[in-house]
Amino acid sequence: MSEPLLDVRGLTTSFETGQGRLTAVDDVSFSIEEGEVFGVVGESGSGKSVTALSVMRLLDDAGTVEADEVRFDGTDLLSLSESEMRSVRGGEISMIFQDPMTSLNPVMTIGEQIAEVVRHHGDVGERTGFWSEMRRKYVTGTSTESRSWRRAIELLETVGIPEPEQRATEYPHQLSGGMRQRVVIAQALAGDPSLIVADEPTTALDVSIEAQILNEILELSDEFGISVMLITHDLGVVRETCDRVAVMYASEFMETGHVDDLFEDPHHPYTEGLLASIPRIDDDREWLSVIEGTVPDLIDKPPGCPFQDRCEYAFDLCDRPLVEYELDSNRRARHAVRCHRENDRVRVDESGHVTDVPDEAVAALERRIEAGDGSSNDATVAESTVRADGGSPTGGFDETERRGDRDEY
Amino acid sequence: MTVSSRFDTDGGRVFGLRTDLIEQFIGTVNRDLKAKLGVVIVTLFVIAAIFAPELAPYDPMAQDFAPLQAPALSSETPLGTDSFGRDLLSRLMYGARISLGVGLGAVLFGAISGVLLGLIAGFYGGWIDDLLMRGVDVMWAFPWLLIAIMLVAVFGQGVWNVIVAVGFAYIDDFARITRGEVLSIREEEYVLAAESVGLGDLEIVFEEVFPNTVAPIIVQFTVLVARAMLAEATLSFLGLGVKPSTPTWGALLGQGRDFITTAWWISILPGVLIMITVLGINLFGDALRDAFDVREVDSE
Amino acid sequence: MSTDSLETSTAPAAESTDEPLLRATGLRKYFQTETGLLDRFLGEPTHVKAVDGVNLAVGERETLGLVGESGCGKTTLGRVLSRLYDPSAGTLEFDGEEITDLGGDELKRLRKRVQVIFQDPMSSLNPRKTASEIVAKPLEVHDIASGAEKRERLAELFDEVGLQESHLDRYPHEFSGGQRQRIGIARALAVEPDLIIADEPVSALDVSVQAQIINLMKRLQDKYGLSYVFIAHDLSVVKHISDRVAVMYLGKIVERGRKEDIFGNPQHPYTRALLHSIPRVDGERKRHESLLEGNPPSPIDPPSGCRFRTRCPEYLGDECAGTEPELRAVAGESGTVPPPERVEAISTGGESSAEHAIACHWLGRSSERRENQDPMS
Repeated sequence: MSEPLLDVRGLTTSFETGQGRLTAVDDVSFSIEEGEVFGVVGESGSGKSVTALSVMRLLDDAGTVEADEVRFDGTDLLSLSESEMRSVRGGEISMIFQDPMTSLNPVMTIGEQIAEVVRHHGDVGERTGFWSEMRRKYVTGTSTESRSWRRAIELLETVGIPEPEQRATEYPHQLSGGMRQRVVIAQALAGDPSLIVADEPTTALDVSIEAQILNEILELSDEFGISVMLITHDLGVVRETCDRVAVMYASEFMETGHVDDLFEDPHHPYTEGLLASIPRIDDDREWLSVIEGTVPDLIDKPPGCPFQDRCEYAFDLCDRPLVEYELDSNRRARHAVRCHRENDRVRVDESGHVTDVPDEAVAALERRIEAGDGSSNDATVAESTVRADGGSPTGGFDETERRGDRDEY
Repeated sequence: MTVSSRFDTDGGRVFGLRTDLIEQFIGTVNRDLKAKLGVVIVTLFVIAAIFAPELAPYDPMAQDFAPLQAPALSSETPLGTDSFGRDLLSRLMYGARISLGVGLGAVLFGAISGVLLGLIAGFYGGWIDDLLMRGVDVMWAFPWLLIAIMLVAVFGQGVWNVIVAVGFAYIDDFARITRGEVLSIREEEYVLAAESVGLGDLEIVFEEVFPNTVAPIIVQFTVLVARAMLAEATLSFLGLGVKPSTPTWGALLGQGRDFITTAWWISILPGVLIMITVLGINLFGDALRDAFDVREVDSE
Repeated sequence: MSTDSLETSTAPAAESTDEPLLRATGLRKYFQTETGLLDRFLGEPTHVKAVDGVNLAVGERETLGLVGESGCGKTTLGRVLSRLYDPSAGTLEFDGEEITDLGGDELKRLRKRVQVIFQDPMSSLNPRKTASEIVAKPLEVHDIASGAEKRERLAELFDEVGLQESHLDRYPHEFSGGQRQRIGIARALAVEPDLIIADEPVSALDVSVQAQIINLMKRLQDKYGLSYVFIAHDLSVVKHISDRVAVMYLGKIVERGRKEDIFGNPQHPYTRALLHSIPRVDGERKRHESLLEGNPPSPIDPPSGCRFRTRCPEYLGDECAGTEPELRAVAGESGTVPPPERVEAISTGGESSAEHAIACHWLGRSSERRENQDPMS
């Protein structure tokens, strides 16, 4: 396998708050291949957006980003200077945000906005100095003869906007929500990116428009070989658009694998619970399954599995530090699960409950934790030293504390 | 099902104020040095004003001393005397009563009228809004000084006339701010929710809408108290304020202008006091606003 | 439960014999567009036809799902149904009484029987009131309980919706989204209403929390015999909680029927396209073409004839642009698409299929032709 386009190892992002240290992204590793659509799915507050913002280095000073490696197309993004990073953003990597209204400038025509990105990243041989841009902005406007303007119109046509010449001279508020999101996509394409990070690109849109936009993104990805990192809360969107997917919960990637594997045979209890709780068009259950409880507090996050309090399979090992287990049997892509149930030596019954935890299972886990990344596979599971010292097997798992929301039906 | 005794739907109240808000205010003051400074200044001046008869060393009207004595801490008159030989310290303390009273009174007058207008205009909208706000525009277009002169011409000099004259000019500020806030709050679903529960218009306005407009109103209030004190000073300086011999900071400032080269203290001291009070009230207002903004309070 | 009684009843049409709890006839709500002072004197006023002639009925202990895209008027319809907005035309009956023009005390009495749950659990709770103050308000307004009794009732209500007593004195911002919606439900439940109009109650919530809230609402319905009008843009959510479903497009209902009919055998091209465009979690993974092109037209100046014709994947021609189709029963009509095998088993309800109606010119045309033109096959 060739080098992946984006390779992230051991990404950890935290924020200092008044109440303590909030870990928003906790030791996350993933890679995105060329031309691949990689989904990150999670509920609000799970850290999926912060993951993307950390990679793009778009967090303000409040956030601390640490990582073993963030390698994009051979360059280490973390070592770039701020100005080098700026030319990567909007160029090689571009972003699409949730709300197309707020991500477009309301007082500039959409043609201008796209042409500006083209000039800065597209190498059209037009001056982009401060005074040239100011002149365009306040005096002359971008000439409709210029290469950047013509490219902008081309791009609008590419993303399926009818009458692009006419539309280019309009302002964002004159377009519908779906059209606006297409403009945002055109703008994202202007820098000729190899990776598009799309953060909930269709959440603000109606179902029928959502389908149009998702198709557009996929077609562009196919046509130009662009990789897409798609962040969403919608499992249906993930299922229909992504190649591989990571399920995020409480700042950690709980399960990563090929979409079909993950949906047909989920291994992590959270993935299982999430899939079961979705109302579907073609089922006739009277009651929806519910994951009891609420997401744990991410401030001063304790070691161990963050899902253990809500997990029906919780057992002795759950408050030990998590490590990544790779499933090897007949998978369409590398499938990794962070759940101690997957420990080879732990015995599990038909229903998925743990029946026996032999000493050698504990010993094996102990060795992996101590070795830091002692996993037998190529997955670099750099268990942070902070996490490795915590947690003794106290068996406190059965007193599942009910916090906040409680729902047993 | 047992109910904990701690739980009380009406919340504790002291003088009609919710205790949790008072606690929040004390918390803010404890945390914030600027808030502390504001509270100290305001408290000090209010005490000086209220207890002026008890605290002032001399009668502010008595011409007992040599005129135009310079301030000297060791002398009988530590802050000096004015051109009639009256003790400046006593006059400043009595002056605080009028200055603070007019400042607060005028803004209170403006705030009550303006907030009511703004609430009605914003909540009902339509022609009511048009009518009230055009009226406010007219008020705004009138120079307040002209209104003050008219009032004094018709009713003569007096504290109440000054309060009304100065306060009148602030109605439009409060009406506009309140209306703007109400317009956005009216769109919030909790207003609709209150209607769906069966609340009447009055209850909705005062229970749901008004409490959420308070923060910017308080800020405006403190800014204007400062300005009203200056306005009172202007009126007194022009001789349109309270009776000439009555001590107010503005009047003192005005009287001192003839002696600015020979006896600077007569003008400078009230001027400095006005400045400090304005600063103190602004800091106090910021603290109040922070305390009342529940959204700023950290959740556990 | 309600569905059982409806299905087993031998009455040919539930609406005519059993008086429904809520019935709307020819309901319209127009808003005048914002204009300046000058325009008001000079120009002719333009209207947004948010709700434009809607008939519907909600039975006792029944849930009516109301679905449509944003801007279709479903929220406005919900607010007119709950008398938060006054209808521009048409009549509303509740429990056999006309409530179209109620005011004052009578309206207040209606508020005790019809309650509302709002979409945005943050915006629908006053940030300056504690949870207990919010829920206690309806008890005070309607003189239901006071003092110790009120406190007891509050604790009961909080327990009922899955909140704890320690939550009583907290402010809305201290709760999670799901908990806030529980407060909203407790407020609606406080007066023991007969009908609750829920406007997108789960749209702002996370998937797993959505399931909690939907289950809670279903359980409360079973326990208290509530009727719901459940408004949503998400068909899969509606499917789960509704007995009957109405699909709205640009101010009008284009298809209504029992849930089994709408989901198992949708007939209106809009419903069919909408169902088609939902991203699915299960079944064959496929990236399908969107059947709905473009955006809904403006409700200020809707298209002539059938309002859906500008986006319709099954457009017939001049007839669609000419006359506006009426809502007509599907049963026995030609021009319907036969249901897929799997669903037929569910929807053999015979008499109740009379309820299934669409507003489309395909009705009465040849079924074969429609099948030939079916974009989904």
